[in-house]
Amino acid sequence: MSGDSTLLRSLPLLAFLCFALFWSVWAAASGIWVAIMPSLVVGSLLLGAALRGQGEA
Amino acid sequence: MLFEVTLLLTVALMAGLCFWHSWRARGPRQSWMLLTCGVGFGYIFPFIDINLFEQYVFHGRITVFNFPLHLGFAWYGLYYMSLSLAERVAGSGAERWKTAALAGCIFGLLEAQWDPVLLQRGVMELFLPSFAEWPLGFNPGVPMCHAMFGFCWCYGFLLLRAAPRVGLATGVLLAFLVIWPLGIMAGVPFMEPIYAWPAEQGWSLGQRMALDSVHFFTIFLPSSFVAAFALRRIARWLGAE
Repeated sequence: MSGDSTLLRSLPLLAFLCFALFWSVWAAASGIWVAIMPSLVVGSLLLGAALRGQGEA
Repeated sequence: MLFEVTLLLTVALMAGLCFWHSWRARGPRQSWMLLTCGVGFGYIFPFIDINLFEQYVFHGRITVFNFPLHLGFAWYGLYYMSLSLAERVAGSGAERWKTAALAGCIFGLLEAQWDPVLLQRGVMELFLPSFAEWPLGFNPGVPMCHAMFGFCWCYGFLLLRAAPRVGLATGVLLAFLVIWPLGIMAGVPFMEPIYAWPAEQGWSLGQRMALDSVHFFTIFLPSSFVAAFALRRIARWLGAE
C-alpha cells in the first residue's frame, strides 16, 4: 500500500521529467540553451517544496 | 520528422501519466472533467484562433485534417501537470486562488520553454504583433497569456469540481475557457497601429521590450481578476459553492 502511494505521488513528477527531458534536449539541439531555464525554475520550486516536506498531490 | 515522432510519444506518455494520477488521486468524476476541459480546449481554441484570427499556424506532418495530433493531449498534460505541481508546492491547505495562481505561473513557464523550441524547429509560426520584435515572433505576451489560461483552467476546476451536475459544469467550464481567451485574441488586431508607434518613434529594443512587458501585464493580470470573479459567479449559479 505504501509503495503504491509513493508511485501515485510520483506520477506528476515523472510527467514533469518527461517534459523537461524532451524539451531541454531539443532546446539544446536547436541551439537555444536559454529555453532550458523554465524547466530549471520549476524543478527548483519542486525541490524547495520537497525540502520543506510539503506535498499532498 | 524525428522531432514530431518523439514529441508525440512524449506528449502521450505525459498525458497518460497525468490521467493515471488523476484517476487514482481524484476519482473518475473529476478526472473526466479535467480531461474534457484539457483536451477540448487544446483542440477547440487553436482551431478557432488559427482559422478566425490567423494568429499562429502549424506545419507538422502528423496531423488530422491539417491539425497536429498532439495538440489536445499536450494542453491537457501541461494543464494537469501544472495543477498537480502547484498543489504539491503550495501544500494541501492552500486557498484555491493561490494554488491556481501558482499553477498559472508554472504553466506560463513551461509554455515559455515549449513555444520557442516549436518556433525554432519550424513546426509553428506566430503572427502576434507586439511593441518589441523578438526572434520568431515570440514576445512576453505569449507566456503571460498562457499563465492566464492556466490560472483560469485550474481555478475553474477547483471551483466547479463539487458541482452537483458534473456534465453541465464541465460543458460550461469548457465554453468559458474557450470564449474568454478568444475575446482577448479578437482584440489583438485592433492594437496593431499602437504596437507600431514606438518603433516609428525610434525607441530602442530594450525600451520596447519593457513596454511590451508592462503592456501585457496590464492586460492579463486584470483579465485574470475578472475571469476569477466570473468563474465564482458561475460556480454559485451551478450550485458548486
